[in-house]
Amino acid sequence: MDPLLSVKQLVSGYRRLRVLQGVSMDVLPGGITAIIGPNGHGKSTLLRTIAGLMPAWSGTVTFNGKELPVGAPDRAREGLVLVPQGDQLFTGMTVEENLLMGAYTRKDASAIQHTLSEVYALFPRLLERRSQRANSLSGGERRMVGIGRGMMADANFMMIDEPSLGLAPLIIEQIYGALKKLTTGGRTILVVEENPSRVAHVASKFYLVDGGYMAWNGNADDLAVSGNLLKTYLGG
Amino acid sequence: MDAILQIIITGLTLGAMYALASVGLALTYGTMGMFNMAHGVFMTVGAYSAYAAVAYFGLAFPVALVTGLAAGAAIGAVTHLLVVRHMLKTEGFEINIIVATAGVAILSEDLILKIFGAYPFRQPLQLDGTFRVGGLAVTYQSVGILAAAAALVGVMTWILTQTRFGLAIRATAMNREAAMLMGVKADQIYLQVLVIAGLLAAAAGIMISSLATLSPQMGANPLLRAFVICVVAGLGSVTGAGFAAIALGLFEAAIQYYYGVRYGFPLMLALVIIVLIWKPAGLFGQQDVIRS
Repeated sequence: MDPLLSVKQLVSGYRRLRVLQGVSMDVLPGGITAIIGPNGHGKSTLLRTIAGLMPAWSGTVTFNGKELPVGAPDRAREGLVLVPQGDQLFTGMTVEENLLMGAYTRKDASAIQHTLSEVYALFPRLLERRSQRANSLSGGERRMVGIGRGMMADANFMMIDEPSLGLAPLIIEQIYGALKKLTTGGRTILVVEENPSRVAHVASKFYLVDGGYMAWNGNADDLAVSGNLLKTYLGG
Repeated sequence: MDAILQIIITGLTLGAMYALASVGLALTYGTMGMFNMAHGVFMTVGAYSAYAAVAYFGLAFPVALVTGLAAGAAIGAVTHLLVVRHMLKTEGFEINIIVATAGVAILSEDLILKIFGAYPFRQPLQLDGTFRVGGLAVTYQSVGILAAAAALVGVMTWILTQTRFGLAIRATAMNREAAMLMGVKADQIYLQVLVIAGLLAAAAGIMISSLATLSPQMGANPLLRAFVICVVAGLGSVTGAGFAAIALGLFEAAIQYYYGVRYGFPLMLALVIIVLIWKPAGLFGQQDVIRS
């Protein structure tokens, strides 16, 4: 199976600070792939570089077998969706305006309405709050808007940066339940998660980022038998 | 009764011009975090271009008007392409851009002085004549200014709130990075915002010069007022700037009528200080609580 997203020897960072030291990974179509690892070791930087928010210093990213254009807007138009860390909602807009912004590059009004109803079906809470401003929502609702806004691009691939950040355990379960549902609809999801136990039962493939390198990768069975390795990196 | 009506008409005319002048400034600040010191010169360029279209090329009133607006839009675009674009991603943008646009203002003002000289020309775009309301003479000029300002601000409000383009501008203003992730080309949005701001400023400049005269420094005073209005409204609040402009126009007209013209601006500044003590973020501004 050809990978949907392929990252080769990616180097990137902030100003002169090199964060990614040559990262390679493949995301196969279908299911949830998780990038795990301690804080401050390059997980978010990896997603931001793939999305084009930060320039790659060297290395390549191919998506659907094609080299990606430069810059986040053009990559978004290619169907590369990133739900950023901390939601980054348009706080002064209503829930529905936020969701419609997710469909900014799409033209077909009836198709957009159809995706909108899919989002509301997945997160009925958002339908109740559709005309409420985003800055009046709870943390869990904001996360739902963030993910729903990502869905609105109607792409078959989504990257989500720490969907569990700052949420109560019960809400985290709901969010991951929703993500699982999305993959049964044929989407591929790449998720960043600091705590591997949260994704252990939903993801099928795991990459461990440490110090800007890929330290380990494996599937769910490998993860189960490599407890010691994870403890070394994540403390436990 | 006539006095109050007089104050209202003068105040609304002043307010309409202030609104045009400040809405563009608020839009620029709100979208790009950029305080545009060249905004006053955009007004001057619009006014002189309309003047030149009539005086040098003998063009008809509507064509001259469009020429003036187009010149304002053009200098907005040029400022973005030559200056702003190259500074956007640099460190300390918000401070540096003030200095850079002040440079643009000084350069453009001197160019206008070089080309046209300092002679206070009369703006040929005038609506002559008056009509009477009760015991009061109202100039067609005032009515024209009010109607044009209302139309321009109305169209801009419609664009910002009802169109996909406006949604993109608001999204970029609220969260540039997130907007880019949605496929919005922020660089293009910035260019378009400066074009709109330039066009509105040019309209304000043509109106202001039609009530006073043309001069190379004519943009300085309205820029100061527009800045004051934006601060009172809350920096970056576009609708707030519109309302604050009308309110301050009426206030200034009342002060001028009862106490004399020279007290208008000082008392307006005093009012601003009072407002800022009471509401530091401005009347319509909100201190956004950022949660991650």
